[in-house]
Amino acid sequence: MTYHNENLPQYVKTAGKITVVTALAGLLVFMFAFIFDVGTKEFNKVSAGVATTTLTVLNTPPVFTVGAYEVVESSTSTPTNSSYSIQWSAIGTDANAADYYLLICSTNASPTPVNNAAPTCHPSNIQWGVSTATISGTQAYVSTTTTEVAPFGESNDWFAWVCDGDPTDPRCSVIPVQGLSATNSSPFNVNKRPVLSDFDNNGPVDPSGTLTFFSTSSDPDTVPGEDEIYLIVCNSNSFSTSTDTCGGTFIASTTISVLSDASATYTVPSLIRDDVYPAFGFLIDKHGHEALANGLQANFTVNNVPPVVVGADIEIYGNAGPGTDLVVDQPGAETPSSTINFTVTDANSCINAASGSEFRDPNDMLITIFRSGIGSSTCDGSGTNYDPNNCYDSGVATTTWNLSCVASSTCAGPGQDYMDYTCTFPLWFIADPTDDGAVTSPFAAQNWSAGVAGVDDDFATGTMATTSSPKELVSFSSLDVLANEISYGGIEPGQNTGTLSATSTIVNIGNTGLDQLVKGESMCGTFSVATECPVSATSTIPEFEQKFGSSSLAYGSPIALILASTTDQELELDVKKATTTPLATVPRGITYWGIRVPASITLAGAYSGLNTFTAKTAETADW
Amino acid sequence: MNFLLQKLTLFCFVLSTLFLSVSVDEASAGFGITPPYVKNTSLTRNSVYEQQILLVRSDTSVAQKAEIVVDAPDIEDWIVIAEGSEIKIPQGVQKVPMTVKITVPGDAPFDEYKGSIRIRTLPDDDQVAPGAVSISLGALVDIELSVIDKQIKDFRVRRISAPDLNEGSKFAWLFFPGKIRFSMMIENTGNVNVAPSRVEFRIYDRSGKALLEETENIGRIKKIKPYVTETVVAEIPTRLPAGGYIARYTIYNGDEVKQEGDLSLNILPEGTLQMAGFGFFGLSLSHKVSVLLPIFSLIIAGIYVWHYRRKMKDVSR
Repeated sequence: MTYHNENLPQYVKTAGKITVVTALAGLLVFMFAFIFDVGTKEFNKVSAGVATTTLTVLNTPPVFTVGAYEVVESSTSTPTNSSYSIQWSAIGTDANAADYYLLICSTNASPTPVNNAAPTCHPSNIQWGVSTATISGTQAYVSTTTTEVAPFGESNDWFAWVCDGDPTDPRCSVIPVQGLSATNSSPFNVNKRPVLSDFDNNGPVDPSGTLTFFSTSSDPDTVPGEDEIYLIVCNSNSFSTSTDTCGGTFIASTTISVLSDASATYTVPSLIRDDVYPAFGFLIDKHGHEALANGLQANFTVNNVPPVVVGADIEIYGNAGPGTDLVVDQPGAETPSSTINFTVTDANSCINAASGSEFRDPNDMLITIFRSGIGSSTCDGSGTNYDPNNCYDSGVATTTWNLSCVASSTCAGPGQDYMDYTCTFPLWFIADPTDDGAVTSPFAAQNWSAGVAGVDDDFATGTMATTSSPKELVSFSSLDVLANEISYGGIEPGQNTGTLSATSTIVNIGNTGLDQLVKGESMCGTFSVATECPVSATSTIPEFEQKFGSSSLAYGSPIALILASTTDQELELDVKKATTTPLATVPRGITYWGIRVPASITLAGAYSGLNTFTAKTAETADW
Repeated sequence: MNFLLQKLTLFCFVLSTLFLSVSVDEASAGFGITPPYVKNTSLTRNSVYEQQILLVRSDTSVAQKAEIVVDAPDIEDWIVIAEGSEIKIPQGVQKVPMTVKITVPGDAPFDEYKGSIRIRTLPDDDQVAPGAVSISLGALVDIELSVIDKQIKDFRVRRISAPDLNEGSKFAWLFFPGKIRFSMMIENTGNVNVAPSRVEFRIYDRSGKALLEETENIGRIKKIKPYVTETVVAEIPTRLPAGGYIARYTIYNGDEVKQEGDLSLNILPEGTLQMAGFGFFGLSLSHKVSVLLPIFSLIIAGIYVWHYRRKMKDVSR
């Protein structure tokens, strides 16, 4: 029979009819057999006559639903520190819904399942661990604590199986699993502790100095290489192994990559008391594993350093108050109450370790007041060069120079590094003036300065600093006249003393060279300052009858000066400036006097008058 | 004979009187002055200069008075003694000031002038010991003045100090620096108003080795009148944190360094002292710009909007 395309519609029509007829016939047969239960007896006869067969369905091994993996990565980069646990996990499913075990072995040799118990690794294997019986389909965990000895090595292969504990036919999975990804797969790595055998430092050290802590230390690991190690220094024997940080105060740690003998440098604070400070060394490797010997102690010592004074922290001024020049204003004596203020700083703070003052009493510090031409290298606080003219030095006894100092600030605690002091001191009347007055002082190009060197509780003495604001010492012209008996002898009216035989003595009790100006009033019996003598030939001896000079001239000498009442007469006595303080040694000048009693004097009685001695600053050359 | 006896008696009496009277009294108490001069070589016309002179004595047991006489013929009328020509020195008082005031006339020739002031101490009750030549002590004040036609701008630093200060503070992104109040006692030694032109601080750590900050004063420093001594303050910003430092300061008069030195500087934690720090003017340039720029932008935008609306109003009309 051949197929013709052109007859396709005919074919379809015919095929559909056959299909329908066949289907209906089948349906009728089925309904007949079903309704009348055709053949029931025949089938029963056949069943009763066949032999019974038996079949034992064998236990099937559990399988990994989720393969075994390291819960926490253990690798060369992130090894498991010795004495810490490594943990695996997996999900196994048993076809019989039986419990299963997760077994971790060191090789892929088939493990040994056990009836009603946990399986074991092949006898030739190291068994890293086996979980407890775990419900099928749930997560199983197994862990083991690593050690630094066998069977643990630095790198350890592992193979995982899931096994059941079927009572009759326990089975393990056929193919072991070694992890799910690169970061949680076999092998696992054990990191050994670094070794710390010695710990020390190169102290003592100054404040702000650098202290180095040394250690004898290494790391035994070799895979993939020796581990870098770090030395951490704490101020107490307390160290957190979870955070690898000091329990107390951190001091220093290794900051560079080293494989052995780690060290740590510590910059000592700029303000720290001189004392011994505790230090404990802790060694860790780069994986944060600590050395067993951690906590070695190597206390360090901070040196005592001398106190420091800077120039602008020294201030001197005279008794007129802050900023004023120094003055001497006590004729022939000491002028009290000049002031020096200064600040002393100490990097060891203002309070020492025993809670006492870090500084010595200010009266024990080196303090000098000097003319700049002398300098602090001469006027150095030793007292050797004390000179009331130009060098006042705390090295001398207070009976010689009564410097008196007190603290003007308080020490608030070890965080404070300074103390302020104020001192008062006297100056003798002979202290060299440095001002540039109408008469130029020989020292006008200089000034007065102050030097201070702090001394601490350990008697360390700082460098002497000199003030940034020196002051002038002002000229002081001052004189005194000593008592003198001037006896002209017997003089008849109309006669004179013949020579200038009587004397008066002036004393230079200031700090300049002195000349003397003299003037005087007429003498009479009724003289007072307010009521001068009347002009009277018989009862008043005019002032010009008195003559004076610097030597015992003849009364009639033309160079004898005639006393005047209105004009000062200068007598060039050139009394030098005193250089020693006892008044008995002070330079003095003698004036020689003579008088003529006018012949016209007839009135008897007591004659009074007033002579004035005026201090005049001598020319510079005469100081 | 009677006449002869009478004359002899008189002679003896006069002789004895003279013998007594010329003997000098017991030692006088010392007297002095400081300074023994009035000196100013930079006076200008119409300038006023004051100087105080201290009169001192060693014996305070009696009241005295000081008689003042100006002996300066050319300039006598320029000189006034503030306390008058007679200064009382009461019993128990050892020192008294004498203020010399110089007022230079507007037509004073440019020249140098010299003179003196004579001071004489006298008993306050005018009484002198009878039958004796009393001793009066005095002192001479030299006067040396120059009137010049040149301006001199100079000063002397008599005292400096830098009290403790609070560290700077932060507000939002703005940092307001701490304010060093550098106090200077300045003596104007010239003849025009003057102030330090600049104050620089180089701040080091306490050891003086590590330079931490360089800064200088902000704003002008108050000027001081000629011949006057006064304290002025330079305000200097610092951005350093609390701690102890060494400040190396330099005080300038123009290009001239008038004083430099090292000074302790203590910066305390913010809020320790009840003292105001720097405000806007203490901000750094960038911070100032960051504040001003938005303000200026808003102003400009406001002006633009106002101008635009006005323009539109004009168009709609």
